Amino acid sequence: MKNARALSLRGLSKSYLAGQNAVDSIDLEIQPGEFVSFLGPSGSGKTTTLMMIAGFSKPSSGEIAIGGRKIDSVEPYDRNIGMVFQNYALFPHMSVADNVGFPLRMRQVPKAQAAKRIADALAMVGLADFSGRKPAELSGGQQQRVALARALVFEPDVVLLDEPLGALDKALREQMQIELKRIHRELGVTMVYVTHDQGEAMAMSDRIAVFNRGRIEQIGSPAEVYARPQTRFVASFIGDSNLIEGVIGRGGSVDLPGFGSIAVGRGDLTPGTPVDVLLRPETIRLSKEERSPEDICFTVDEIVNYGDSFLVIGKSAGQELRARVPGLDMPALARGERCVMRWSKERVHIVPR
Amino acid sequence: MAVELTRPALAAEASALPARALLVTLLRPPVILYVPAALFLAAFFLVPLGLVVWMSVSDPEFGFGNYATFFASRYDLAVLARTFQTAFVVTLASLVFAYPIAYVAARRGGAVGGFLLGVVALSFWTSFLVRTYAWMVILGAKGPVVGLLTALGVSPPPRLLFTTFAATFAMAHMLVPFMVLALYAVMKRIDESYMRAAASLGARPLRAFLTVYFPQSLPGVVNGATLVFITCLGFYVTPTLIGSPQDKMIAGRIGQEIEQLLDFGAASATSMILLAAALALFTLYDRFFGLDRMWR
Amino acid sequence: MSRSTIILAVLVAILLTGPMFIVVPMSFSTAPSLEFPPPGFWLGYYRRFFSDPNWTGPLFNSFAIGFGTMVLAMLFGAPASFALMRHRFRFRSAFRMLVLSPLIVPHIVMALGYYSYFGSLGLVQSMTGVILAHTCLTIPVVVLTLTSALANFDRRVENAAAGLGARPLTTFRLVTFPILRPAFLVAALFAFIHSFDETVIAIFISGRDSATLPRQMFNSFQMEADPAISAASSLLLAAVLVVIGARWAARLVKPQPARAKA
Repeated sequence: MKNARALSLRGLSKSYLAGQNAVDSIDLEIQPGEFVSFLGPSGSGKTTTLMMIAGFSKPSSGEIAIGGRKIDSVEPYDRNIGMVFQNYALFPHMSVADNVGFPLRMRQVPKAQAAKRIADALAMVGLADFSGRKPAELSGGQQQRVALARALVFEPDVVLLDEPLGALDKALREQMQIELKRIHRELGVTMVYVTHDQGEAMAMSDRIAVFNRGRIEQIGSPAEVYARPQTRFVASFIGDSNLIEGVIGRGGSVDLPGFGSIAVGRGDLTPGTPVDVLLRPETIRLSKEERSPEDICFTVDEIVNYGDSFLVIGKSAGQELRARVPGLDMPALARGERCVMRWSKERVHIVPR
Repeated sequence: MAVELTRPALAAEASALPARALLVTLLRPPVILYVPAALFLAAFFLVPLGLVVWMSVSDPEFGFGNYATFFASRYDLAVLARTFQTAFVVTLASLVFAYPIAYVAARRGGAVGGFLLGVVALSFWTSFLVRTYAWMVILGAKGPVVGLLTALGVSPPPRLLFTTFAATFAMAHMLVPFMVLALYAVMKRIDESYMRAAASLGARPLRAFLTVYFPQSLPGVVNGATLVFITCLGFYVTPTLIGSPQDKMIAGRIGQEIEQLLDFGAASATSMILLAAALALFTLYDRFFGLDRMWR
Repeated sequence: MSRSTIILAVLVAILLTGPMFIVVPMSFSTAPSLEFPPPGFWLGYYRRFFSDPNWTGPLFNSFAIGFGTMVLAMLFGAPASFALMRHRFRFRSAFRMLVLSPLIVPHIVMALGYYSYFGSLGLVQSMTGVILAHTCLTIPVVVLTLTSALANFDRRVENAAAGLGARPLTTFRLVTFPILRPAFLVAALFAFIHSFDETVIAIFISGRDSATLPRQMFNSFQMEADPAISAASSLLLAAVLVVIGARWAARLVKPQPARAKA
């Protein structure tokens, strides 16, 4: 799409009560055509931020710019932002075609041209034959597609999506994720996607902004956010995680009480600094071989079979740990059994505290 | 790049001129939305109501003479007592009749529920006058009840029309639909699973009803009873048409003071006493339940 | 639920409605007074009702007053409902009290107030007076209907419209109003019926020339003068029956489409 624009937020804050910020000084630069997810638990400020971008909520301070133009005092109807609402907010009294045609009508697009664009938009979301239906006659997934077509048909500068797949069941959600990704690729429009589902954010985004308590704790590519979380919150919110408290030792190693000292190759941290060590469950391997002195002992408490993999919950050095073992690599273990635990040092990640 | 004139910008520009700022404020929501209604109600509701208050203490002379006369008159005190007594009986009777209808309608959908609600709606929307007229015919001297009693050998047949009994009976009958709707609104929200849970825990139907359902329907009972009681206090048409001309209720007494006695001071004082009773009940209700819920 | 409970409820309901229908045979009765069972049947009272100016006049007046009240009550009540549901302003709770208070004051009290107030304004015995009085009593009916509709209104569709480029007035015209149209129609209908049905104030302040149908009926009942009241009563009952019957039939013929729960 020719008019993909950059979106920038500078020092954006929103406070409902004095001294309490629902959104606290957010800085974010989104590139033209980028797909950015706002990920966080409910109440973390992601939806409030989205509402401020759309213009439905007034920032207490800070500024918002689209393509370099400040839009803080522009009314929502003049912002040229497409939005897909959580429950779609389709106009119940209008047909599918009238819903999709609404933004074109507001922009006085000539009838013939509008008809063509409506048809194209509906074809894009696979609903070409549904233009005469009323929203109530559509399934949830179809309503969702209409909402998407309506948000895209007027070639907005930016498209905002507020948990658009939240109401759909799992299979449909995955199908829509793929479709949404395809549409984004085809149109190249800037998209901001709010979700509390980390899997969804991982699957779709160019970058993820992780929200917590009104702040962005980290922004980065899905791989980055997953492998190298910068805070304890990000480490525990995204993916399954084992966090072990430790202290930075000498020569790029970390001292973990009960586990000994492990080399992690980080010389940039002052010895004595308390840190958390992130150990993803899938980096842990369990085996029933003879243990050598440097191996760590693991006592199995619970085994959950997921089919393709096993989740093994157990204790090691007094700490509860979770290991995710691929089905093929799973040793024959039983509850209460002791085994040997290994991990690869390159996968260990230090999270500052 | 086009500079949009936005609402804050307009307001800022307007504040430069005080007169224009005032105009902008007046023409913008919410002021433009509520001020017309407020002015209208002030002029055509509050002023006439205030006039009644004023007349009660100023006609024929300034002071509380009208109230003193009312409370010194055994006739007026009897009217007041009869009004409360009748309202109480009517409320109780309409509750007894309304409860089973609302209960079955709320818990049974389908044909039965639809029939019950249709019947209630029919009598709810039919004018009080029409229904009063029906009772005039039924209870009249040449009506079916008297005819039946005569045929059974009761002679002379009792006088039914123009008695407090007739008025009480007819008012209870007329207010049942109000009570049903108040009860139904609350009962509809009582989840069916409560009764199932009670049954699965070993409660027999009557016991389940008494310990689980009825307590949850009480807000509806209170709503309905308050509405019916207050409506009954101020009921004019039915008692006047089929009640006893001697044993008036308070609204009928006010009407008599206006039309026959042309004593506006006394009528106003009586009105204020009726209004005070209604307000006291509403305040009591508001205190415990919140007035907002009354008409929901 | 036991069968006996259901039977009890149905019996009570029939007892509730049954007696009203006695007005129907009465309207065809040849007896000039309240005699039941009727000695004979004819259509004379209906002919009288539709030809006697003592009945056609009040019938017309009631329609005119009901219509005027409906228009005024909607004009004042609809904006008031939006103010109450969508804005925070300084006198909001006082305003709410003011708007609802006509429901609390017994009609006979207001009748006395209007009797003297309109006397001094020269509005007594005029249609204008009745319309003004009825409007006050009807505004709360409109407001209750519309505020409960507004409470169930999902404002996100308005946000959606704004986000798609519609200015506030356009949003109201194309989105808010069409969605709320049924509630507006119901509120207007309630307003009309409320006025059409109102008896007490009409008795005291509508004069001979502006007499409403309820006033004329009340006077006839009191005098036991005119058997055409039975025709009037039957027609009012028939009107209610037709409206409720039509709604019932409509529901039977066209079941409500299962709304997709968003």
